[in-house]
Amino acid sequence: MAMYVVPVFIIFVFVYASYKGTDTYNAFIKGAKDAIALIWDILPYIVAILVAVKLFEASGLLKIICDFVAPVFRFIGVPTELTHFVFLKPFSGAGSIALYNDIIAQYGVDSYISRVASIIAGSSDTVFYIATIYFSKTKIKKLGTAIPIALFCTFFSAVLASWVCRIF
Amino acid sequence: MTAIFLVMFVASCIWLLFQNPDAILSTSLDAINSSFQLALTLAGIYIFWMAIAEIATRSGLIDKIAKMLKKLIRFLFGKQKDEVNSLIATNIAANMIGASGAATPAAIAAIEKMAEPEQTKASTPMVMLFILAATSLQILPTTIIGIMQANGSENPARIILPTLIVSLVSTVVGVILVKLFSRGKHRKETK
Repeated sequence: MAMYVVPVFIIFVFVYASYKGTDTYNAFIKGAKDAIALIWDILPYIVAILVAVKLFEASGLLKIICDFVAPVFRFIGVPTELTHFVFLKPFSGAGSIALYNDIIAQYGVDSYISRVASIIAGSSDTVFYIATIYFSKTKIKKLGTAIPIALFCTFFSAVLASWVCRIF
Repeated sequence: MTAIFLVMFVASCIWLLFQNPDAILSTSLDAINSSFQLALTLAGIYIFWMAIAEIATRSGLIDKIAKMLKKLIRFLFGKQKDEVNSLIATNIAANMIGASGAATPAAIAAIEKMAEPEQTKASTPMVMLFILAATSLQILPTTIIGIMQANGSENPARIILPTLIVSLVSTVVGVILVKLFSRGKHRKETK
């Protein structure tokens, strides 16, 4: 069933658009153009975070930190292999995608660890990035409870993902 | 981000200096190499989905979803100007189908229109909009499915339902927390 969701959705968008008389070809071109600009924009960020993360990993510092928090993660049921991923997620969207790619290469795309990572990646967004961008056109500097609530929810969804993945 | 980058970079390099100084350069170059490979994979996914999202936006499909969300928006954000309402709706609808390219500009405009000229503190509706985006209520996690497919997953659609459950629950928790904290604030102010 689920494997038909994506293709049916795509076909529906095209059929609906042509029924409404939308110029699908030029809309497609415009979307593709925006996407290429976006990739070009985020590539330097991917490079920077991957260099930092790989150095951190190679130096052994990552392992020291992960070993340190591992008991907490084990206690609440989050795979300890995902510690750095969970920590990086709120800070860098491009970085966490890079790390996600690493994780599925290392543990196999259909493994339990990769599936948990997939859900974490798909169920929360880059908290600090959104906080900067969304308020960028105003003078608002004090976000009050916004960041703590968002971080709590991000962490909560990581815990939940680890539990839900045991069932599905 | 600068502080995190700096600490990670400097600490790692100093640590490596004592163990394996050659690794600093070779690890960095390897990482840059894989960044480009990753960007290529992402390019395929983004181009396809942003093109689809653009078609959905232009055909009015996003507006249609936005209309269906009207009651929900009233509950979450209280009374707002019509203009703000439709921007919020666009943001939520676009986030739902993973079209962050359309979602972000709408949110920026909505928050700009809700803000007073000299306001420096975020109001509850602004925090609500931010939390909805941060907890990302997405119906189709298109980027992740694409990456899984590119890496030879047997059944990438398998994660759709659990992702939906997790993001739905975390969004509801976020909304409840925002409502709770705003009520606490009101009580303090009336005292």
